[in-house]
Formats: sequence, C-alpha cells, structure tokens
Amino acid sequence: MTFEQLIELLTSKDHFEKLAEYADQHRQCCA
Amino acid sequence: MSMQISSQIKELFTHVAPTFDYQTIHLRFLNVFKEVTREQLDIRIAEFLKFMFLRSKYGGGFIPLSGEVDDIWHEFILQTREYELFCLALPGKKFIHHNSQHLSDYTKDKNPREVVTQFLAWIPAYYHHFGEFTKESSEYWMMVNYLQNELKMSLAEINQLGSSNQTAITYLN
Repeated sequence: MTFEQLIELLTSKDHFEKLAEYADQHRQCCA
Repeated sequence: MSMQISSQIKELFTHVAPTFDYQTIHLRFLNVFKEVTREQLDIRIAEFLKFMFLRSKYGGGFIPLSGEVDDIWHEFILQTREYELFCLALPGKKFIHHNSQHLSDYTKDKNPREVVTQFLAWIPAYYHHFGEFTKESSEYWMMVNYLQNELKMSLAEINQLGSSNQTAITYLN
C-alpha cells in the first residue's frame, strides 16, 4: 500500500472514527 | 538497578540536545521509575527523546505517543529549569508545551485528510533520523500500533513506508 493509498483509506469515515476511538482508548498524548 | 547511563541513551541525548547536561535528569528518571525494568526504562527514555526531537524540529501537529512515554515527559516537565534548558537545546530551540488531548477533541473542526496525513508523515521523519522501528520501540507509538493491529501491516511494511516516502516529511512543516 502506498502512502497516498493509506491516507485515502484512513480518511474514510469508518476508518477515521475507528482511529480516533483507538487513540482515545490508548491514553495518547501529544504536543 | 545500575545508575550508570547506557551508551545508547548517552548518544541519543547528545544527538537530540547536544548542549544539554543530561546527568541529573537521567538520575531522576532512574530514581522515580524504579518499578520499571532498566531495559524498559531505557526504551521509554529513548522514544521520549526521539519524540521531542521530531516535535522540536518539525513543529506542531498531533504526534500521538503512549502513556508510558508521556510519564517520562511529565517527570521531566516538573524539573522546570532543566526542562527549559533541554527544550532550548533541541533543534527548534523553543520551549515545548505539553498538551493532554484526546484525538477526538483535536480533530474537531479539522479536515480528516490533514489529520491523517500528519499522523502518518512523522513515520518517514522518524525513519530518516532514527532508523527502523523495532518490536520494542514500536509499542510506544500509537500510529504504528494501529497500522499493525487494525490494518495488519507488518513492522517491515511500516519501516518500508518510512524509508520510501521521505518526501512526506514536508507535510509536517
């Protein structure tokens, strides 16, 4: 999978919501 | 636990913040995180240093890292004078603020494509500066975990993504 294809996949509604949920569950932090 | 700093951590401190005297903060990490094995603590410190380097060099955006590495950051911030000196010794030479924020809050009013691109773009940046993710280091980076667990990508594929998309680093600026 290319970088662009990965961006497209993760930007799709289902994946994006899942990614946000995953991040929230795993006590993430950012700067 | 030995109080000697490992050569790997010494080299990383020198690489990311060349003028910073790391002896005192390193000793504090050893004293505070006694429940963690020395091997695990060294990995967490190493990934923290890499995170701070990338954040300082490439600026803002959301680079999610694990709670265990965040704990190292919390401890460092409490030593305010040393933390400030460390930030000023990083490539960006600016103080780096800490922000505990859920991704769902961060993404409000943001374009999903922009967020995802930022999420992925630091992988080539990490690869460029620090080489491949290992099994041990990868567990502290949420995006790498997500690609492994949810998209079933192997670590080799993720490292390939990092090595073959170096132009994506420009998305971080």
